[in-house]
Amino acid sequence: MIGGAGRGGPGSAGGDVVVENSQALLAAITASSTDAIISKDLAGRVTSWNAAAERLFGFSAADMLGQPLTRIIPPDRMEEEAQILTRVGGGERLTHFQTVRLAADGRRLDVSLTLSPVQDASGKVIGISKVVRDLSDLQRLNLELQQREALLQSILDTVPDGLVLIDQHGRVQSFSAAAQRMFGYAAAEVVGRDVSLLMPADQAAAHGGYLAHYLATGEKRIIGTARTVVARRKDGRTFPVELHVSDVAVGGNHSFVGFVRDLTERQNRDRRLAELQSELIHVSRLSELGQMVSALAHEVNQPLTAITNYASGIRRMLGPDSPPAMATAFEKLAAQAARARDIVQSLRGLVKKEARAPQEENLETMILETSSLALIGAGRAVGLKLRVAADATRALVDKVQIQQVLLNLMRNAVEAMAGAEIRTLTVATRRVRDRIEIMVSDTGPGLPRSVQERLFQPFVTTKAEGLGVGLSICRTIVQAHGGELSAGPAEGGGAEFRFTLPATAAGREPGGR
Amino acid sequence: MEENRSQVRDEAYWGGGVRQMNAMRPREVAVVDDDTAVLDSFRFVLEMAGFTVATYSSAQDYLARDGDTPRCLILDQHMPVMTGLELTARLRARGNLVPILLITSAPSPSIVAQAAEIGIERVLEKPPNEQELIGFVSACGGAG
Repeated sequence: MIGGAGRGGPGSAGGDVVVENSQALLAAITASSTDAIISKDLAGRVTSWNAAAERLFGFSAADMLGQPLTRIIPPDRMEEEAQILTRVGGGERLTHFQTVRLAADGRRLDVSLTLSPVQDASGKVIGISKVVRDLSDLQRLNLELQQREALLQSILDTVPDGLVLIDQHGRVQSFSAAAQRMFGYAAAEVVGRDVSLLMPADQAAAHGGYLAHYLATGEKRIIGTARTVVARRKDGRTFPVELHVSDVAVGGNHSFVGFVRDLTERQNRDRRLAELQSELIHVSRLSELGQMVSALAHEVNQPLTAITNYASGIRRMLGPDSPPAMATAFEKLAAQAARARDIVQSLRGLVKKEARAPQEENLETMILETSSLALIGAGRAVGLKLRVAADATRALVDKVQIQQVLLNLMRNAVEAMAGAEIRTLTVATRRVRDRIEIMVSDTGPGLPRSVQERLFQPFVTTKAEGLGVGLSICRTIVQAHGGELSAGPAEGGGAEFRFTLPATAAGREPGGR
Repeated sequence: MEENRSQVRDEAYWGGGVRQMNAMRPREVAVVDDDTAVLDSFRFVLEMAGFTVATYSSAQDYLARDGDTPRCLILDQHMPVMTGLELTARLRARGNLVPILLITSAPSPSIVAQAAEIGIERVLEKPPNEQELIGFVSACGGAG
C-alpha cells in the first residue's frame, strides 16, 4: 500500500470510487513489477514492500513492514540514507541513483534507485517511495562483454596474422597490433583512411572498383577465399601476403574483415630450399662429371703410359749410326704422348672440386633439409623416420658433400620403395667411439646379391637414367671424411646403407670415453 | 718390425731409404699392373735401359712368386681385387722393405698421404716421366 497517495482526495462519492479503483490498480502494478518497489515514512520505517523486493532482498514483507530500512543499507552507506531522507523529505526527486544494498544473506547488491516524495493532499511530504532496479545482471553482462572484448583483443594481438577492418567505403576502422608491425603504420595513422594505402599503386587503383562491384552485385571475387597478394609497407617496400577477407553485415551495413599473413618468411624458406637444391644438383653433376673424367683419365693414361714407355725404349735402342730423323721422330712421339697427358690432366683439374674445410654441422638440420629435397615428388606416400641419438647430433663435415651423399641414399631409397606397400624411410645417427654413424634404410625389396657386389663401382646401374656413378661418388666423399660406406639388408627386408663421419671435438664431450 | 717400418718411413723422407737398400744389390725389377700392354711397355723400356724385368698382372701373382726380394717394385695403384697400396701394406706387414714406386693416374693427396704412411718410397703419375722412372730404378741398385 502506497502510503496515502491520493488519500483524502476530492470529497465526492464518485471520487472515492475512482480513488478505490486507482488504489487497486496501483496495488496490482506494484505487485507485478519486476523492479522492487518500497515505501517508507520520514522516520525511515518501511511502509510497503512488494513481491519483487522480497525476491531481490530475500526479506518478506512481514519481516520488513514497520522495520527501519537501514536493515538493507550497508554500514558504509548509512550517511547516504540520511542525505536521501533530507533531500527527498524536502520534496526533491532522485533518479537512477546508483548504490549498494544488502540482501538477507549478506550479499552486496548493485542497485539503481529512483526516489520520489509521497505527499498528502496539502502537499506535505509524508513518506518516500523508491523503485529499486537490480544492476547485477546488467553489470554482469557488461563485465562479460568487457572480458570478451579483452579476450578478442588479446587473441588479435597474439595471432601473427594482421587484422584490418574496413567499412563499405573502404575506410579502415580497426588495425590490429600485428598489422601495425607488418605494415609499419601505427593504428592512428591508418584508421579513417582508405585501405588502398596498404597496397601497391596498381592494386590500390582497382580496389575501390572491387568494393563497389561486390556491394552492387554481391558477386564474390576475393571474399571467402585466400589469395596471395602484394602488400605495401609505410616505407614503400612491398611484401607478399596471404589475404582472407570476410564480409560482416550488421543491420544492413557491410564491413569487411581482412586477415593478412606475411609470406616473406615462407618465400625465403622456399627460396633457400630451391637454392640448396640447385647447388646440390650442380655439385652432383660436377661430381658425376668429375668421376667420369677421372675414370676416363685412367683409361686413357694406360695406353699413354705404354706409348711413352715404348718410345723411351726405342730411343735407347737407337745407336750413333741410326738416322737422326728417327731419334727426332721418337722424341716427338714422346712429346705428343706428354701433350695428351697434359690435356687429360687439365681436364681433370677443371672438374676438380674445391676442397672446403670441414665444419661442425647439426646433423638433424642437415638431414631434414636434405629429406625435403629427397621427398619431392614422393609426396606423402613416403614416411620419414628420423632418430638422432643424443650423443650423435653434430659432425665435422663438408656440408654440401655430405648432403649429396644423403640425397643420393635417400633418393635411391625412395625410388626403391616405389612399388612397396609400406614406404618408410629411416635415417638414424648414433655414436661409434669417436665417430658418428649415419644409417639410411628403406622398406623396399632390398638389394639383389648380384648388384650388391658391384654396388660402388662406377658406371654400374640398375636404373634407366643416370650414369651409375652416384654410389661410387658417395663412397669417395665418405672416404674423404675418413669413413666407409657399406650396404646391407635392413631389418624389415629393405636395403640399409651406413657410413661414418668424424664427430666434433665438442660432440665428444657428452659421449664420454 | 714396427721399429723398422718407422725407420724406413723416416729415411724415405730424408731420401736415405733407397740408398740403404742398395746394400742388398738385387738385380731384378718387378712390375705389377693389370694392363698387359702397360706391363709389356715397362718391360721394354726397362730392358732397353739394361735392367732385368719380371712382370706380374696382379697383386696375387706377385705374392705367389718364389725367389729373392727384387731390386725394386713398380706398382700400379688401380687394380681390381687388391690395389697397389693394399699390396704394399701386406708386404710391409711381413717386414718386406723392398723399395716401391707407386704409379697412379690420379695421385690424389689422400693416396700420396697413405703411400707415405705405409712406407712407399715414390709416387709417380701415369704416364711416368722416363728420367724419373729410370732414375728411381737405378738408385735402387746402382750406387751402393
